[in-house]
This record gives sequence, C-alpha cells and structure tokens, in this order.
Amino acid sequence: MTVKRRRFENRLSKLIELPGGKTVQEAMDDAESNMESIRDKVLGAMDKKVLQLLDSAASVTADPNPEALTNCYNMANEIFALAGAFGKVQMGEAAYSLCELIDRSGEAGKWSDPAFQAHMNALRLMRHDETEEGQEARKVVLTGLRSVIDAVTGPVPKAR
Amino acid sequence: MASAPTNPKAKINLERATVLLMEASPQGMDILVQVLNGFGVRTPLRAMSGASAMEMVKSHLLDLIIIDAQLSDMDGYDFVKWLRTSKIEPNCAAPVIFMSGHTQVSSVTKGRDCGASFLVAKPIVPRVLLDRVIWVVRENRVFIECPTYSGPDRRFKFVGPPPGTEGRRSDDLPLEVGVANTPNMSQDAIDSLLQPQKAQL
Repeated sequence: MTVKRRRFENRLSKLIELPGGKTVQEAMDDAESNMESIRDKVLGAMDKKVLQLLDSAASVTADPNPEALTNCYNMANEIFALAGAFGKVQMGEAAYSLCELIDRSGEAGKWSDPAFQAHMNALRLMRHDETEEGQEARKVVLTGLRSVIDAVTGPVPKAR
Repeated sequence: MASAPTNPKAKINLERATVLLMEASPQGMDILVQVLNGFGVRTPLRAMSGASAMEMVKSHLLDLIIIDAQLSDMDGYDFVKWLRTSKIEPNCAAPVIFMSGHTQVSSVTKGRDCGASFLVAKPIVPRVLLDRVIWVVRENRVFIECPTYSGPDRRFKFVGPPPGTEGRRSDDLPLEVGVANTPNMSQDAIDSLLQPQKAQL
C-alpha cells in the first residue's frame, strides 16, 4: 500500500500570533457572556423541541418504524446539546439516555415500548420540575433510566 | 498529545482567521457563532448543509473548520472524508474540529477514520473548545494520504513499533538505542545547551 506523508503549513498558528487580539482568559469570558445573551432564546427553542418530541412519541408504537425512531433520536440529541450548554444537566441526561435507548435497541434488535414511554415521562418531569428540592428525585429517575436500558438491550455493544 | 495547559494570560488573535462553522441546528449554530465571536473571530462562515459547505471549501481559503456530526443533508463524517480526499489544496488539509453529541455505536470507527484533527464532545463549553483551537495551533502532525485513510496522522506518540514487530515507517524509532554511530558531543557543545536561554512567550 502506498502511503504519502506531506506537511502543510499551519496558517492558524501564524495568524494567532499577530499583534492585537485578547488574552485566553478574556476570550473565554467574552464567549461565556456572549452565550448568556442568547440563553433565553435557545432554551425557549429547546423547550419547543421537547414538546415536539413528546408529540412525535405518539407515533412510536410497540413495533416502531425506523424513520420515526431516527426522528426521535435526532431531536433528543439536539435537546442534549442545547440543554447541556446552558447547565440544564438533568434534562440533557434524560435526552442522552433516550438516544442511548434508541441506538442500543437498534444494535440489539430489541424494542421495549414501556422503556421508551419511561423516557418520555422522564422528559416531562425534567421539563416541569426544575426545583432544587426535586433534584435528588430526578437523579433517582435518571439512574432508573440507565437500569431500564441495560435490562432491555443487554450489555453495551462494542464499537465498530 | 498537545495537551499542555493554556496560559490564561497568553494572547491570541483570531481576527483574521477564516473559520467555517457547520451545524444543522439553528440554535446550535447560534451558540457556536457567539462562542467564536467571543474568541475574537470576526465573521465566521456558516453552513447548515454539506452542499453549501462544499461550495465554501471551493471558494474560500479556510484556516479552521468546526463541524457537527449531523448536517441537514449528510453526516459530518462523510463531509470530512470528502474534504480530505477532495485534493482542493490547501483546504483539504485544513484543521477540522469535529463535534458530536451522542455517538451511535456504528459511528465510532467512522469518527476515528474520517480524518478530523480533534473530536469534541457536546455540549459546547467555551473553555474546552478554546483548548482544542489551541491544540490545533500547536499541531504539527504530518498529513497522511493512502487508499484507506486521508488526514492528520492518527498517532500522537512516536515511541516506535510494538515490541517484536518491525516498524512500517522509515522514521520509526527503534526500541533499542544501540551503539552510538556518531562522535560524542564536545563539552563546549554540551555547556552551550545548558546555558540559560531567553524564553520566548
């Protein structure tokens, strides 16, 4: 097998050293404050996405079609990314768990509608209860979701 | 791996960098734009689809590409693979930071083999993303082109071939140092190496 090894100029390493700019700390502070300026807008859109996911869950049955599941997977993955970026960690974890359920069920060739509905209920809970007092209860729910996935799909499949 | 901690007081200037952001979600794109603006990038190019990004690769000189695993018309892995084999120089070798939320089991090896420079797990955290940008700046890996892979060398460590095997590369380091085949350094040369040097920041 022929392997070519080449070196290309790393232009970014030259540009970044040009006079001017800002310190690393200033860059991080500015990025964080810019993010704060869009927090409400993004979290509003994320909430709509959660409602959309809960609506579309109605089309997922005991024998769901792959397209409906892919749609749910993509929405859950987006909710995970948006929620996590703004500190909504538990909402993000519930959405991530749904991605995990759909992916691992596909790999294992098994499907459990009750496991899917448990995830929908968890997302409803995360959406309605963001109180400090409810945090421990939500943690228990998230732990339960992980057990549900393991019970339905078996061990984590190997990467390929 | 270039993972030395970044000095918070070090200066960076990204004002003149041309950065292409690829993300299918409008809110995800908003987050990226705000973060990159905070880093000092003036007007990042934006593409929500692979098709529009391909046009930008053909028409702009890119210094950095930040791409999500899921685009509106194709997946990010396929885009990076296209870029690396496109022969559009120098953009085909542009640094690529690949972002991924949940990664499907079937995509793990695709992520390793697509040719991205670094992978970043979502959700986006400014500190983590800036660290990866700085890794890219320090990056000095060779670009590999072969029938099964195009992209930065996936090996970060050069410790020679595994024990008991022949190295495949001419510059693989041998496990045994062996006998010296050049004269010893003079004491003057050694002393000059130990002289205090002016640090370059």
